[in-house]
Amino acid sequence: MKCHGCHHLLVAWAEEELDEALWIQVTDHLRQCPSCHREAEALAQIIRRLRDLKADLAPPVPACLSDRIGQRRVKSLARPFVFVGVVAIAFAMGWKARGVSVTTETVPIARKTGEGKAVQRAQQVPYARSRMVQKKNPYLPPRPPSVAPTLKAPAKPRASRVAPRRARHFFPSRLVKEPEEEVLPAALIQITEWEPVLVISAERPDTEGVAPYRIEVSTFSPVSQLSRTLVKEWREDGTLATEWSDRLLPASLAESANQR
Amino acid sequence: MTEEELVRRAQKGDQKAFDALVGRYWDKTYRLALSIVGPSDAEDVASSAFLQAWKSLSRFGLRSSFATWLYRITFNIAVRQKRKQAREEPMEEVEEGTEPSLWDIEEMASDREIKRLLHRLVQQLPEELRVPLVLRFWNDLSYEEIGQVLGVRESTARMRTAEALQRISDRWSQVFGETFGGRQRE
Repeated sequence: MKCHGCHHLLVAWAEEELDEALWIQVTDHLRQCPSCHREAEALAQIIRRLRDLKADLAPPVPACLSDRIGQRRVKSLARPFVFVGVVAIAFAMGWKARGVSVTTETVPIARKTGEGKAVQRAQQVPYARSRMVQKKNPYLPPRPPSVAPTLKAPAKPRASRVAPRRARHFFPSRLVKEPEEEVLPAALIQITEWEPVLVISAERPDTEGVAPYRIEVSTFSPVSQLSRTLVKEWREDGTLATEWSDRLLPASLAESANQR
Repeated sequence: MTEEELVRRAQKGDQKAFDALVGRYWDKTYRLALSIVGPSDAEDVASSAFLQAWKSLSRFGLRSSFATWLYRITFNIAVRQKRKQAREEPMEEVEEGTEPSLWDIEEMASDREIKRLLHRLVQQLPEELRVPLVLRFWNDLSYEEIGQVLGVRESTARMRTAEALQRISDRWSQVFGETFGGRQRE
């Protein structure tokens, strides 16, 4: 082995990390080469001294460290409780902001019906309004012309009744906030003019007294290419509910609507 | 009790087990901090490293040894602290060209002086050579573990350590005119 080949192995030799075959080769070379031998010896001495030195370089563990670790433990134990508390508060706030709650109060409404009044009465029914409607969300288009409940009755009204339980599943906000819904710019909403309504179905009470009826109408606006469906229900429990939802018309339908 | 058992107990919240780990690794952690930030902040850095380790212990998955993980934390904290020091006030450099006086050389016969001077030579090394040297000879890590702590390859760790030793040896020869073992240079 030459000096050049031996040189980069000297640290490993000094650390006694070489395998046997290499160790023998390096040691043989060191016997013959005083320069490399001196260098290897120096490295071995430095390593030995460094290892001896470490004992002088460490103070004892500070007494306060254990206390500080204990304090941090208390904090980390408290953290899950804080997390649970925050989640509970957030859930409660979210539940409240959900805005749709079923009222147990029966809201009396007047029998009189007419233009515009049905909508007004619907606003008095707490469960039929979402918080978004209440706060006059700027992204919502203006209300469609109110549907007069004086529409002509079908020749033979069906005696279907809306189950009272349905009231508990009535979430108008779902209609407004469907995932595929596209919110129109406010400027476009303002110039929306609604076409005359198309009555899809209307059911009138078969008795004179308070009885359920349900009206479903649809309308569209060629300007904003919106189609609106509106459903009004007068329920057995004397409450009046209004649901409506807007959708953007598909391009093909919008074209035909414009031509018409 | 083995290191793994202690770590598992500490992960379950056993502070005594963690105290045992502190006792086991305090010296080495302190020395690593000392080699990076110097004596003034070494204790703070080592304490912070243990507190950080205690806080993050639940995330330690025993994929490496506890020591390697702890040294990595210590190294990061120390490097941050050193940068902070550098921003606040210029680092007090160890004087590169200081040579011992005649009196020093006479006194060098004592073992204590040799250690003191050797320590000074270690402190004079640049950080990228000093830290692997300290991890190797003061913290007894393998080169693979040093690579893990510093985020470099094993061969790089090996090369830097060898370079550090070589520089100490050369410097010693320059200053005292003889190799570390005491023989006169040719």
